[in-house]
Formats: sequence, C-alpha cells, structure tokens
Amino acid sequence: MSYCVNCGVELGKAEQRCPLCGTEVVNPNEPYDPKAKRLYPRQLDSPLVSLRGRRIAALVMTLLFFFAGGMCIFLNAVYAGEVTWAYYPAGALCMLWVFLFPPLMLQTKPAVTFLLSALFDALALGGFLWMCETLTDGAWFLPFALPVTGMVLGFLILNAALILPRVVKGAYIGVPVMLTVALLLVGLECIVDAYLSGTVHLTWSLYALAPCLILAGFFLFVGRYRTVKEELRRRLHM
Amino acid sequence: MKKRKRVKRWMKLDNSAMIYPAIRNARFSTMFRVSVTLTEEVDPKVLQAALEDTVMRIPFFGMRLRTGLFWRYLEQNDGVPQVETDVANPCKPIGKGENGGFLFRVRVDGCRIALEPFHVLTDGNGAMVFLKTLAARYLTLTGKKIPFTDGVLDTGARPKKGELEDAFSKYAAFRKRAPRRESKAYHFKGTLEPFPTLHIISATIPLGPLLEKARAAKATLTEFLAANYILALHRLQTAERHLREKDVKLCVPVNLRKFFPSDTLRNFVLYLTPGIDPGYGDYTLEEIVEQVHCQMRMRLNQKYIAAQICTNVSDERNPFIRMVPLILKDWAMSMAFRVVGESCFSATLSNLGETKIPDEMRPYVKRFDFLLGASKINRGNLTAVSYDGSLVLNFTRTTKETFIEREFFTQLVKLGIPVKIESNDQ
Ligand SMILES: [Zn+2]
Repeated sequence: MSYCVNCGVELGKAEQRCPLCGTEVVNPNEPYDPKAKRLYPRQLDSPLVSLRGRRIAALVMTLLFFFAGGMCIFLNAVYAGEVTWAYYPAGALCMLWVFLFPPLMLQTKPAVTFLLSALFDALALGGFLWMCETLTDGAWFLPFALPVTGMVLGFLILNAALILPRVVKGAYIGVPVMLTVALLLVGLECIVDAYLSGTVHLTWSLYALAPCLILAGFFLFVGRYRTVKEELRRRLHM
Repeated sequence: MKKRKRVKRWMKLDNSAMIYPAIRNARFSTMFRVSVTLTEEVDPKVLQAALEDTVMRIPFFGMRLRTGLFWRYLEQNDGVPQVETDVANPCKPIGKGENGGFLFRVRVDGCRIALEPFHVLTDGNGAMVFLKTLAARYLTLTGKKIPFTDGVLDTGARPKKGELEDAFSKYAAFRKRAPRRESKAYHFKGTLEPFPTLHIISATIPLGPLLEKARAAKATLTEFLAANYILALHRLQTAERHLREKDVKLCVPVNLRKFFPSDTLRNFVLYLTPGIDPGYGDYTLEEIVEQVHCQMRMRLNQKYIAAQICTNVSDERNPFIRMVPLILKDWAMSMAFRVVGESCFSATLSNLGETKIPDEMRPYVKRFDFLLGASKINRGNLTAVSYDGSLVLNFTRTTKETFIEREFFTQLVKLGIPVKIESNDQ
C-alpha cells in the first residue's frame, strides 16, 4: 500500500495522486496501476436538459401575446369603427415577442444565440419604429432612428464576438466595452447634430470620451498585472 | 360494458418532504445515496427482479411526484423502475419527467448496488431499509438464505401501515413551538465546478481507535466527527482572513426514531446546528468537542424535539397557509429556506450510525457507503456510516479546492488514527 508523503494518509490502489493535496504517488514497490478497480466508474451522468419547460413557456407566451394583441385590435375596431391606436400595442407585442422567443427556443452555442437574438431584436425594433413613423407621418426614421439602432447593434455584435468566444477575458473585457461606450457616445452626438442642425460639431461627447478612455486604460493595466488583480480581488471581495 | 378506470393510489407528502421540491434546483441538492458492496459481482438482471419485488413491498418508491393546486402529492406510477449502470458523478438531481417519473435510481457497478433517492421520498434510515431489503432479496434470488430481521423486510409480505405513516404529524405536541431564528453561519468560498460535477473523497477508518478518541473526549462519535469538521471549517475561515468571522455551524440530522417509536420508512429526521462562534477567539479541538457535546445534549430530548416538530407541522396545518396556491407556497418556502435554512449552517454532517444486518447476510457484504449530493449552496457535505468495525466517511463537494478534507483527515492522522483515502477523481 502507498501513503501520501504530504498528508500521511493511505491511498487506494486506483489513486495516481493524493486526492487531498494532489501529490503524485511514488512507491517503487507498488507503482500506480491504471487498471486497478476504481471506486467510481469514469462514465459521467449527462447534464440536465430542460428544453421541454422552455418550449412550453414559449408556447404559452405566444398564445398570450396573440390573444392580447388580437383583443386590442378587436376592441379598437368595434368602438372606433376602424383600427387607430391598436397598431401601437399590437406592434409593441410583436416586437416583444421577437425579443423573447429566439432566446427560449435557440439551442445553439451562447455566442451564436446572442448574435442571432441581437440581429432579430434590432430588426424588430427597427420595424416597430418605422411603423410608428409611418403612422405619425414623421420623418425621423431614416435620418435618426435607423442609424442609432444600427450603430448599437454593430457595437453589441462586435463586443459579443470578442467576449463570448473568450477572445478577451477577465479584466480585459472592460477594454472593448469602455472603448465601445466612448465610440457610441461620439456616434450618437454626430447623428443628433446631423439630424437637428445638419452640421456635426462635437462637444459633450468629448467630455464623456475622456473618462471612458481612462477606464479602458485602467482595465488594460489591471488585466496586465496579475498581482494588481489579486490585490484588488482580495480588498474588494464581497 | 365499459371498463372502469382503476383509481390510482396517492399519498400526501410528509411534513419535512414538502420543502424539498420547493428548493430542488441547481442551487441546492436534495439527492442522497446509500450503497452496499457485496463480495461477488452483481448480476443486473437478477437485481432488476429483486428491485421489482422490493418496490412492491415499499410501495411509495413506486410513485411519482404530482402537483396539486395547493400541495404536491405522490401518485402511483405504473411504470417499472430500471437498474442503471453507475456513474462518476452520482446524485444528480432527477428533473421533471426524467427517469420515468421515479424519484429514485438504482445503480450497479461491479459488486456495488447503489440507491439514490430524492429526499422527498425518505431519509437515510428509510433508504437503508430499502437498500438492505433489495440486497437481501438479490442474495435470496441467487440462492442464499437470508432471514427477515435487522431491517431486512420480507418482500413477500404486504406493506404495513406504520411504515408509510407521516410520523411528524403523529408526534407534534401542540404545547410550545420552538423558535426558528438562528445566527448566520459562515459559507466557504472556492471555485465552483460546472453543474453536474461531484467530487467524492471516501475514507475508510478503523472504528476502534476513533471510538477510543471520542470516548476519551467524553463525546459520541458524531460529536467527535462534528468537532473535527468544525475545526477544519474554522481554519479555512481564518485562512480566508475575513474582517468579521461568522459562526461555524454544522447541520446535523438526527434520526427521530430513536426518540419516538415509529416504524415509518419515510422522512423522520430533524436538524440540529451545533457550532462555534469564532468571535470569542481561537478554539482547540478539545474546546470544540465540548461545545458541540453540550449543544447537542441540550437539544436532544423528547420535549424540545416535539416542540421543534410542532413548529414545522403547525405551518402545514394553518388554514390560511393551506389555502394559498402551491406556486406561492413554493416561493415562500424557498425564500424562508434562504433565510432560516441554508444561511444557518456552513456544511452538513450526517452519520447513519452502525448498519445492522442479519448474521446470515454478513459473509456476502463487504461495505456500506452513504453520500449526500452537493450543489452551489450545499457545497461541502460529510457523511458517515459504519459496518463491520470500520467507518466509511464520504466527503462530497462541488468546488475544486480540498482544503477542508485535507485539514480534516490530516487532523485525524495526527491523532494517530489510520485513514485510507479513495476518490472519484478522473
Ligand atoms: Zn496528500
């Protein structure tokens, strides 16, 4: 029989290293035998899948939304003689449905699920805004709402592509996020200016830019130095 | 003539079982496992036959969990439970609709037969009776003669009423209710492993030297093990350097059949939470043993236990609570469990005590094991069961680090107790 030189406990024949401290078993008289009978087999019990519950939730939600939207249109049509305000709640429900349905049903990798959902969400939001513009005879969708929605979607996809497949991890995640926020603010001011006055003149977004860049630098610094990271984790842990 | 549909048998859940479905999720594990290792290889086909006979004898194992408007209940399951092959990570929660609706698994690996029930069915003692009956039935089917004594039931007989009773309601004395509030306990950190992972460290210890040490400290075996476990947890808390140290308390189930005569095979346990308050200073093992001993003794008397049962049962009987729909009850129960349950103990120690089996069965049985499932909240559990002069301890955890196990066992080694370690490490 073998003992752990570190813990002083006897070890079972199937143990290659001490389960308590990880020290490898070295016993010239009785070398580790990979064929020894293990206490438990290697076969793992498969993880829980709760797809059924989510499918039911998706079905219930669909029925509920359909019923609520249909009710609005029906009541509106009966009392006003034509459909007027009911477009808004019905459209909003449609948008909400697109927000909720794909995440419930998609069974792909997290990154793919996120990208697809984000794309659908942006399309639904754009569609809803466009409907609102048409109903109110406005002219703000193309010059304002569409660029903003598109920009937010683009930045979200960029971040997800970096973070979800773990291209950037740990404290480094803060770097692209802060840079994105900075760019988003600048882009927003450009669009607002262009929409309101037709000329682009950056002011407030430049003030917001500075702290974002400083924070991005900070995250870069924290990610770069392990000791700093450990120190922060120790002092700030909750 | 129309064939009338047979009415399915059903049962209410026992008082302590009501909480388990409400808190069962990845956060809190409510599965446990008892297993017996025979001297010869187990034939799964014969075991399947033995299992079918045993479920007939202990019928609530052949039931599924159903949801009523106000309460859950057990309903007869017409399917047949199947023997499975063993796995590296036992005690995975049984999800809704999994496992043919059965609330337990029987697994076989080489010479070992394992029973993994969901806590809603039974406690460690009830599970042990099922396991012993199953093993005895298996041995009988392979040609041995095993008498029906020492917790081995006759699978040919009819189920007895007393075995199926809810012993809690029977013994709830409505005099005084015990208070529920308790101080918050320390919960250790550590790197959580991905969901169905379960690390098991199993130790075999000769009972003699350990009992000697426990007696020298004027404590029972459970108290002595609890003190060692508390010491290991206390050292971890000290090593983690907290600004304010919390109480280190264990959740120790107590078999109530010792205090109230009952043959029930369903849940009949209560939990004590002995521990120390590190605010008073550092503790030696001797000091902790004394603390634990006194705390356990103070609580372990029929009157106090009856009051505690009453606290639990009175909620179930309260007409206002009864009228609340189940979905709200679940929410309230899981919230209450967060406040007065899981936050009041650091870890669990469950000692099933000595396993008695008929003398005729002893030559065929090598060892018994007992395991508690672990999860995000109950991440460290220690279980003990003894048989044939040796004690088998099982640590289960969901975290990577082994600080507590190492402290615990090296502590025993330092006391001069030989420890043999095995694990399910891949
Ligand atoms: Zn070691």
